[in-house]
Amino acid sequence: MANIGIDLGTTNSLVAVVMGQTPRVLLDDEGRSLTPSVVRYSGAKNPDGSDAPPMIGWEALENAVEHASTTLTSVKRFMGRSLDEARKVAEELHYTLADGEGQDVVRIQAGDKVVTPVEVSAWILRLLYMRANECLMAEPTGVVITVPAYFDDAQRQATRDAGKLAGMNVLRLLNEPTAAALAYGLQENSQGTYVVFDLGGGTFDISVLELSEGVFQVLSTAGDTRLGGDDFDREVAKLILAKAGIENATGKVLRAAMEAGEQAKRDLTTGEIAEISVELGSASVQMQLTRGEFNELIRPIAERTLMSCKQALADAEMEPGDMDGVVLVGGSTRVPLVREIVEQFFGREPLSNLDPDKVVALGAALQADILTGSSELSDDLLLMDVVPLSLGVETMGGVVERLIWRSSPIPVTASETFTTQVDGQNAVDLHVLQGERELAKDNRSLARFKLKGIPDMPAGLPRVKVTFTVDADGILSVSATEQYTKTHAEIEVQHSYGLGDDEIEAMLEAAIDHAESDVDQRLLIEARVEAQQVLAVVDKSLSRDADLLAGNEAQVISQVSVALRQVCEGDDRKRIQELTTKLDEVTAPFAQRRIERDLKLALEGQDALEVLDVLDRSVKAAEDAAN
Amino acid sequence: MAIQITDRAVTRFQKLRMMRQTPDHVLRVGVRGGGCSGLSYFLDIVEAPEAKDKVFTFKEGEITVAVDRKSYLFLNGTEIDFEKTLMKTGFVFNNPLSGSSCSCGESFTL
Repeated sequence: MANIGIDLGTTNSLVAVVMGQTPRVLLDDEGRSLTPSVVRYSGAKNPDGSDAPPMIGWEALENAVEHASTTLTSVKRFMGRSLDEARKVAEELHYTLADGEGQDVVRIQAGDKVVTPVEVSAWILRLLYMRANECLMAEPTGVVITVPAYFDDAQRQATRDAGKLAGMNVLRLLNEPTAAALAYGLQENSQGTYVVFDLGGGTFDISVLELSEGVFQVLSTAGDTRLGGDDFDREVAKLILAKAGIENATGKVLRAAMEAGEQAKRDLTTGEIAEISVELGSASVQMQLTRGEFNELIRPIAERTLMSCKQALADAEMEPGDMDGVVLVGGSTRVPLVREIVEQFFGREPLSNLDPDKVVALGAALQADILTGSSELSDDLLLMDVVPLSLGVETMGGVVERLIWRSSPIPVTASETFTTQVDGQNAVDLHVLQGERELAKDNRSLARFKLKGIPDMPAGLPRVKVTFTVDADGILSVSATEQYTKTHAEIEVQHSYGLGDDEIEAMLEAAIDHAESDVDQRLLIEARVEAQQVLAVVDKSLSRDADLLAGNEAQVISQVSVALRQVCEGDDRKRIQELTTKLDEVTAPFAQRRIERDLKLALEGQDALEVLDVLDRSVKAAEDAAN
Repeated sequence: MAIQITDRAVTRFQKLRMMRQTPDHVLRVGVRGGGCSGLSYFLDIVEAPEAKDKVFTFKEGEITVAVDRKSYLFLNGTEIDFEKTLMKTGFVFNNPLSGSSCSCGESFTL
């Protein structure tokens, strides 16, 4: 039971979850936190001829250059865009948009496949969701996805749709700068004005946030979709290529130079000198680059961020000195010159003790955790944030079927389908119980109610769906609906009231002390119930189709039945199970003949509907036998 | 008798701990009523065992497996393994106390 946070980025995406009050990014099986937001449609087929799932993340990025036409990157920039807007972005990114026949949905050509940005994003989300599922050993309950603060309604809706398409429960979209602020715990200051400076690989965003009474509001945003750390790499690459005397480099040579540039940038984040050594086709370059030289190379680009900063401040009607804090987001804010420029401009040291690549995902995880209601951060739900004792209903023979387990975070909903035990049963009694013991009588009874009005049907046919919901205030509602007739009944219980911590503790202790005998009794009762069901079916068949009995079958069946009835009075579970199986075995040929005759009779009647009905019954009989 | 864990399961558990960035967390296993054959297993990775858990350590204390007392009654002698096949990937329980399992292997009866 956990909610997760996903930072669905233009270049890279991450997933994080709060474990024991600490938000953590979940790594892939190679230990990497970032997953490239890249999807490649290889055109591979499943054995049945359908399209195989695309490659996602690192796998898709690996040979992206060789497979440029089928590899989609930066798809976030198309999310929720109109066709006209998308055309502009496509031109910039060298994408081919599929011609829409009079429709206004943006569709991207990926090889011979046509996909929507929502579909592509859904694949990225699904990969991260599966990772969370693996790490948590359970399916995440809900997901918070981050979006840029400037995303409009259409862009937000597209992001939500991608989440739904990926099969997840999207609880909320969270603004990226707000997520970053949450990760730094700024909401604890209860009020102030903050600026979030987000310099990624290819995009730059600046947001001014106002915090009042613990709630963030975005005052203004600005940015540049063509400014990022890649531009720093490019400057170094230009220098390397110039040194090698190469003009107009393309393909592998350009890529090698860019990679060397990126490595130098990384080295100069902590070091003062970078050693560059790179093979560029026939040429090779060995050189040194100092931090000072690097700073001068990139300064004009880094200073372009300040134009957006001024713009955002002007829109918010603020001065640089008005900020109560500066948050750095995005890997490129590791570059020392960027930090220096930001610090100078705002006149204060930026917050940087969290990994700038992870800060948005961490904030999303915190928000997701708040939404489970179990977080310490949520003060409105502090009184009761988990279900203190398991909740369930009494079933056949007085055993408890639990729907909601102890310690489940609230709000929570769970359903299970039950059926009737007797032919023509028109009502079902629902006994709502609280506790950890196996037998209903040892648990606390919370409520009883009746679902009436079930039409005459053979035992086992009605499907009664029972749903337990505990809302954020700890109120339990139980509803029961018969699925064919939609007959419905429900009740509301304030289940935590009247039980103190001591009583809860005592109930848990009792459950452990009686564990063995409880479970033994439960299994014994279950064995008896099963035996009685088999006996009832056998009795019914004997009275209806006695003429089909062959040889000494009647005698054998009667012997086993009597023996089974007898052991059911006692406590020998193994013996009850053995004789139940035996009764199944000795009646099998008889049952077979009954099915054959029913089938034959129906076929003679030539009524197709009747044949189907008989087939249904046969299938059901076979299922019952298998169970 | 106690709880055992195979090398494959240890490797898998260590990988999951790495992915979660929780290298010191412990594996908690147990049994619940429910599932198609009466009882079902559950697994979780948690920060520490609960106060009354039975605790087993492996690999010179690097791996800890915790079982609550109630579940231990049904898991004594169980070997935790990890299986990767076309049909399913996951931890499996080889439980000598188990009478019969359902075909999905997630639940059992005694």
